[in-house]
Amino acid sequence: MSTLVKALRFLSIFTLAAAFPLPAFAQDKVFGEDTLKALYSYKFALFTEWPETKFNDGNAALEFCIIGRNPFGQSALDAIQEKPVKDKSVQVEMYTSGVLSEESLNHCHVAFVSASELHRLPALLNSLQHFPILTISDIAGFSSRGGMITLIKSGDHIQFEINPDTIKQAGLTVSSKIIELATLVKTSNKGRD
Amino acid sequence: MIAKKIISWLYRVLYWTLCCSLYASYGLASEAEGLDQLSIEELMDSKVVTATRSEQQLTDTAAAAYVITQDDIRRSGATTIPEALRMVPGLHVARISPTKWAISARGFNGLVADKLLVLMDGRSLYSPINKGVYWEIQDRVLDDIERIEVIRGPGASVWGANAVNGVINIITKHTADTQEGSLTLFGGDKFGAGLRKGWQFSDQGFARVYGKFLRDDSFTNQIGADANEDWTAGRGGFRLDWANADGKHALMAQGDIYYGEYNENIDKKNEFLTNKLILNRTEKKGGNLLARWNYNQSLASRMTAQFFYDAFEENQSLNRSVNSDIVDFDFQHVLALNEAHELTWGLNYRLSLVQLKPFNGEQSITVTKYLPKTFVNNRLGVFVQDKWRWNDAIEITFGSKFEHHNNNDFEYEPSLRVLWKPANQHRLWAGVSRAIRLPAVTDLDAAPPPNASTEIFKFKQYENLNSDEVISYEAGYRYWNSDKFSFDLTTYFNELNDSQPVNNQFSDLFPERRIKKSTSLGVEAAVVWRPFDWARFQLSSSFMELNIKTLRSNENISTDSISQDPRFLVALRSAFDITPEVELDVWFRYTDSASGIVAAQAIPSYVTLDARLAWKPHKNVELAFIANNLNDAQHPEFYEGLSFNPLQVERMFWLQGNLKF
Repeated sequence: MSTLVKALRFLSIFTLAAAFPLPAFAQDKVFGEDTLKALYSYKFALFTEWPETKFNDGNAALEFCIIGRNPFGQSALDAIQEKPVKDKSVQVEMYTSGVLSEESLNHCHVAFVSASELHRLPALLNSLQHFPILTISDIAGFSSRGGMITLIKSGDHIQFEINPDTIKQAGLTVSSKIIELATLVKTSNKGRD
Repeated sequence: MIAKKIISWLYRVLYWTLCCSLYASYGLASEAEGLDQLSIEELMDSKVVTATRSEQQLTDTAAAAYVITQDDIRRSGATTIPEALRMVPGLHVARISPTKWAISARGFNGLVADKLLVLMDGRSLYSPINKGVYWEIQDRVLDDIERIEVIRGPGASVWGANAVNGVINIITKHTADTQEGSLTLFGGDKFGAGLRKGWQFSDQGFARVYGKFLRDDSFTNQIGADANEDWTAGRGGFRLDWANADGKHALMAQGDIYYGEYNENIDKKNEFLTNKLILNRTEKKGGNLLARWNYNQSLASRMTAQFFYDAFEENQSLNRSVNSDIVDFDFQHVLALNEAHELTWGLNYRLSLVQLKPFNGEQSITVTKYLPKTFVNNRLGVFVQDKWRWNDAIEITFGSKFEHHNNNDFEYEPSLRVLWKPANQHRLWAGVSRAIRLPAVTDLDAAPPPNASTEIFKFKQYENLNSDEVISYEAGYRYWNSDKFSFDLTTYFNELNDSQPVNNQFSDLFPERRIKKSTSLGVEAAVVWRPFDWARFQLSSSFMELNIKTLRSNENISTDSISQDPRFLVALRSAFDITPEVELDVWFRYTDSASGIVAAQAIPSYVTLDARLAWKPHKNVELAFIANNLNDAQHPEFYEGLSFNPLQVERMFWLQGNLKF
């Protein structure tokens, strides 16, 4: 048992050491990549207009559907969960196996396509394009392959690409405030047929 | 009496985990507050910290799940897969010798840990020869591993037989993520090299090849002399991924070949007490090939068909020559029926062949001989599972696997699990499951032929050998406050029924069975705390009370049996980013004492302290100094079988360099 006592003592030293916080590195706005991507996605939802029929469907939640393996850590999800968008509040729904019924899809307002779905993207986008759902992903070329918004890591920052055509086709409107800040792309046929 | 003991241990587990967690949660304002107020311009100005790691734990899983990420593996300083598994809370990882490991969860650990199922990219590593995993032949360039998912507790309703006390899924990276080359070299008390190169061969087609070489330390024996149990192994392999233009079809193929020479001492027959060890030079080689086809039928339906072939051969200079071949076909279909129900079903067929080959090593009289024989096992399984989102807060998963096996016409492995989300940052879950371990070749009885004077044994199969069975009751709770703090608590109660034949060398007419009835009760807790972006602590502890009663069928008497499992495990892993270029990792583990099969084999409790100091002089170069067992020159971790002279795990140092190109 003396080893246990020793071990316990060792542990308390660690706890104590951690109890006196050392000065953290000087930092202004610094986030984990996933948190920043989640915050961007929330901002996009704030500046998006859905068709009346879609938005006033009696659902009190703005459903943020993650399709594929969840790329977000807990703090990233906490940062947007239950936050207001107009008269609704954000509800995160996960479809980790990548499959969801048309019924479930009907309820999604935002679909975040996880990088795990990279290789079925064309099939996925084909299914999604008939719905008034804002599609966001961090898969490279997502917008030009028929998605709406792509989050791109560039150096230390996250930037975004928007395909205005796909947004328009889905019957959505994204505020010009967002469009002006984005790199605009068009749907290219590469990899689509 | 036992209840009192349990309470005292429970108290200890809770104390260890809560003493720190209470402190940690003190003054922890919800960091997420107000972030939604940031403007889009502010987001664009924000910087990404690469050092901040996402806690991608499986918070919404109704099981005791844990994920080792690539970053965890890198920072652990591990050079092989079993070393990395030491990070899993509640998993008992003990090194018997340089080549042999005992790894299991929730008890019954041993060289033959037959209740743990291990898979790599869907290929079962569970050997039909030794009803466990040959850990010494499982390796990869560790940089190619994306993550290791560990589930403690039964997973048989989906994974099938042998997923009794846990399932480990080792998942390698998609080839699109390993385009850059990677060269790792390490040297010191052990040395090795790993090389990986990837390329793109078409629009949606990627590939990689790898090679790895490792020479491990030889360890010392109890009296401090070199045990000469060193080993040298090399391996190579490839992986291809391809998807068609519309993304409906994706193909993956991979394969490995490996060869290693392992020096393993064995006891001279009938001379256990005198500790006479003789060198048994062992050659282990093998290879495997896996192909998988993914079909994305629609958004609501996805199918996977998989085939693998695995060959393994072990040639010992003194003991035996054995090989195994496995052919496996697997099909799975995930289907979203409607908003509430997600149905998964699958089929599996496995043929495994074990051959005891004519022995052509040194003709020694020291070991028992056997008659060559081939054992064929067929396994056919089907499973169905429904994940039912009952409402926003409750998710119910239920299903069963049904299997047919040579020894057993019919096995059922049902499971029912419920996940409840009472609030955003809280999860409660509970489950009941039944799992089985199928009889393996090594459950066969060695019995002398009619002419017993020849001393040649034949292996004889009990045709009505039953499967080992577990009924497991589990419950768990998770809490987190952003990435700063999380707490995970699991309790379980298992009832196990094992039926094993006694190695009956005296009478072929009265085969004796021993029936083991066991119960285990345990608590597992883990706390992750990140007080600052540059410091992370993970404290975990587990406690288990295991009671094994053995009933001898001939004598009808019941006795207590001893398990070789420690009752109490504690680990504290800390990671510091001293500067963006310098990392320090300190890892402390305490393992409680464990009994041996006989009293002389008791393993005293031990503490280990591992450390890693790494420096990135350039974004593509990493240099690390790694130390294992800093606090202790040598200690034993596990006794194998009846060995009286276990090997001592030593203090080890090595330098490691990694170059990305």
